[in-house]
Amino acid sequence: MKEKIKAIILENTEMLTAEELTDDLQLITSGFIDSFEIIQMIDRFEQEFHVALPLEDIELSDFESVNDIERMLLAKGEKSA
Amino acid sequence: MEQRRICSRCAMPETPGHITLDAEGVCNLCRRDENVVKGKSASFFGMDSERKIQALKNKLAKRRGGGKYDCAVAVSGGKDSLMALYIAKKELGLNPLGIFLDNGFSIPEMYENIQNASDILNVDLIMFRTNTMKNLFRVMLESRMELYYCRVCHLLLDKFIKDICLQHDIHLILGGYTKGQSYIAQDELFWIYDLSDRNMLTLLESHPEFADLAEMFRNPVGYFAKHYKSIEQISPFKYFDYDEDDIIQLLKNELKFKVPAYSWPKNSTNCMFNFLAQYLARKQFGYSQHETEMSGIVRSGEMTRECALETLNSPITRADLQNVLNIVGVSEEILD
Repeated sequence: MKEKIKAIILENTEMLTAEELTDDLQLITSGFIDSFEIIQMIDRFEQEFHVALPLEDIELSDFESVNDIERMLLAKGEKSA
Repeated sequence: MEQRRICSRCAMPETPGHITLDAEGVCNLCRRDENVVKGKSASFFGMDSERKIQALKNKLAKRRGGGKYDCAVAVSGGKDSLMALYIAKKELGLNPLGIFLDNGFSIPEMYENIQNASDILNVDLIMFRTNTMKNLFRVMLESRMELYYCRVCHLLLDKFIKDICLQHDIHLILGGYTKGQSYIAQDELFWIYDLSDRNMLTLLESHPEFADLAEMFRNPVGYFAKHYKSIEQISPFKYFDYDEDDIIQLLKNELKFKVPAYSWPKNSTNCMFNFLAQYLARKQFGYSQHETEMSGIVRSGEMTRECALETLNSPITRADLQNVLNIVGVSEEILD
């Protein structure tokens, strides 16, 4: 799952290489991605992981790292199961 | 106002529950950044400038539209936004549309600065004056609720500017905010935004004249994603090394830039309301974007702590506050 998350992040940012994108890298506070890029990624996460991520429920802190995104997607998946 | 302890490395004041100072007098934000610098976590800000500029060029290529303008630059008349306009035109070779949103509190020099920049750079400019902020601020002040005025104003400015971009089929905005003002990365401001947004929603319930704004305060990120999904906003200062003195000198030489004679913080704002916004933010929340912005620049080594503290300690007098309240049309009793 983490590898798919990383692939989507790398598609949407010009700032990172695959080597730099570690599981716990701070994406937002370290300046690698911003809210626009997160919004662009949401559609891809929804398609790839078959979850609904309504914009009104977005918490930026859920996107702070690959680990956070995985945690959020798993929680959303459990809710919709 | 009571004297509070300030971080011994940056300019953040101790604020219970949010900014803590350790035994050495160093705040939690400086400690967090220490971890980033030591390599525990990589940072975009630590990358070499060549790579950062290449990242910006890639981004510009991706967002460049097919219309008359390559991008919009939101100009306030201050140094940062005019430098962004200069960078867009002269250094990146773009054809930008300047957009000046006058919130009713612009400092007099700003009008002249904007017109000079537009003329000298040969850039088209839209000037749009709104009374929405003035009317909304009046209601907010009279409510005496804990509200962050700069947050409210920035959201409204964003909305108005993006509306204009949609009208002109523009999908990229270069913002003039500096590295320190890259609010998205400053999670130390998030609790202030959350509290202020919640209070705004409560306030707007009893003011149907502003009902159309409630959706924006309910979830700002979701609101802008829903209505302006195709528009990206970036700051060129995230990618270029920033030196405030060099920028002011360049703008003075090339764009006849004038530093405001009367403003807070001195020399570095374009908005008269800042006197009151800063006074209230310190009183209600303990600090504002100004403390976080300057502290961020101090941490990055681009400003000394002494310089930041001198700027932040610029006095705000009762007369300054009265001037602003007169513009809004609210009695100074709300200060008590």
